[in-house]
Amino acid sequence: MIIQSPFLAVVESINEALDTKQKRPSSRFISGGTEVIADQNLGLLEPEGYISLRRIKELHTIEPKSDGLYIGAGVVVAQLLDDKAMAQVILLKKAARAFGTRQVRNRATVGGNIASGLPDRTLLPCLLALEATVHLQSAKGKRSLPIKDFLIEPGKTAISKDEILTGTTVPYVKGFQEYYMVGPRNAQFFVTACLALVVDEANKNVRLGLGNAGPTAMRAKEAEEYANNAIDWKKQTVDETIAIKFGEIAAENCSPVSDAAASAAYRRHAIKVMSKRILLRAFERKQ
Amino acid sequence: MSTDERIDYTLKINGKPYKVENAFYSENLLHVLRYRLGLTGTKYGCEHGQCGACTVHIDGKAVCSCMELAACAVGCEITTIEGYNNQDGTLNRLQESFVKHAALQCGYCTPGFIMSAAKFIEENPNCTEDQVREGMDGNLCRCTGYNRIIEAIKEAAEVRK
Repeated sequence: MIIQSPFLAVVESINEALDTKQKRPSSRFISGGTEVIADQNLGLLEPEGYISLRRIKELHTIEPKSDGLYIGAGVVVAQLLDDKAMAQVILLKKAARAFGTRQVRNRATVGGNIASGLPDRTLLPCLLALEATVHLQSAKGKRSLPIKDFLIEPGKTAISKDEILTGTTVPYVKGFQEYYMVGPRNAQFFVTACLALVVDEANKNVRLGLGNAGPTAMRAKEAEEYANNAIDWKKQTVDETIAIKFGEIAAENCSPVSDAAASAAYRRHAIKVMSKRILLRAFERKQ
Repeated sequence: MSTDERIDYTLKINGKPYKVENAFYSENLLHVLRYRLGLTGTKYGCEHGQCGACTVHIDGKAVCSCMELAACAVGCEITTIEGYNNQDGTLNRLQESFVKHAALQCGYCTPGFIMSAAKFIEENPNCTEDQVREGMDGNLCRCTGYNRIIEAIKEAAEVRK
């Protein structure tokens, strides 16, 4: 333990973090601080103490494993851009480039982005499309669950108060992967709307994750189903009419909100257009 | 807030130790630098990571000091614009380039731009203009516009080669 005061603890291991949390249940885990301290500065958050997880070395690993690439919760987004192992999950590398500013990427962690559970976060639609698994740990033990079961409602996830998010395992998928976003500015840390497409060549299906198109990040199941049947997998081609329909179905079946950044109609339109473009892009090289 | 919420710690800034006493545990580094230690070169902008005016280097990474808990930076090497100047107070190559290209008007964003650009040039020594534009995505300027700033950074990067 580097600092131990009634309201701030800088811990060096997961066990220390869990012990401290048990003693001070109302305190909040913090790592990069790009969300928590920003909220505190804006007066949205009245902290009752912080437990800083940044010095926990075991949370900082990126490790290729047999079932996928393991990414520790404390890995910062800049590492997603730089680490060689990320070549195996190209989608996250692409999304990382569109993630916040350089300064934010040096601090914002993968774990923080997942645990926020907010619909406008960059990595969640990507992890949904990749069918990643999230790993949690408490004093009672460890558990893992699919990212789709982890996201419950805006800002609410399956993580319980005595649990810590330790990392995520992202399966290797062979095929096209791409991330598109619209936002007020490239370097905005929230998106107006975004989507991630994964083409699974082995299983002959496409998976589309949508961000800020509903109460949580979500999969566009109806559009996926349509595309899986409509795509000519033998020739590996997609007609423009199929791509247009794919976009329309994705837009019809999402439920975006209207807020200060954009209206629901704008978001729906953005999803429609981006879905069409991303599907055409996915199959254009093979034509 | 009650008094027991306050803590003491020492920060290593520009190579020198600075004692911070009786500070709230929740204070961000920007606040501590400016209002407790008088290092006002680092500027207060948006306070949520959009503008980059508060950029400092912590352990060799450019970060926004407004979103950093000061007490969590204990044990880290912190460099602010005051420490980035030449020791004798003269301007270094990047700063000279900003002057040459008139890459500032009110100057409020400049310390942040200099700190970001310094790291960017270090990490991308052979950068193209497009890379500079993308690399400086974390800093906003509301008066000069960006062309002169980009030109200044580009030239400083070329001189480095």
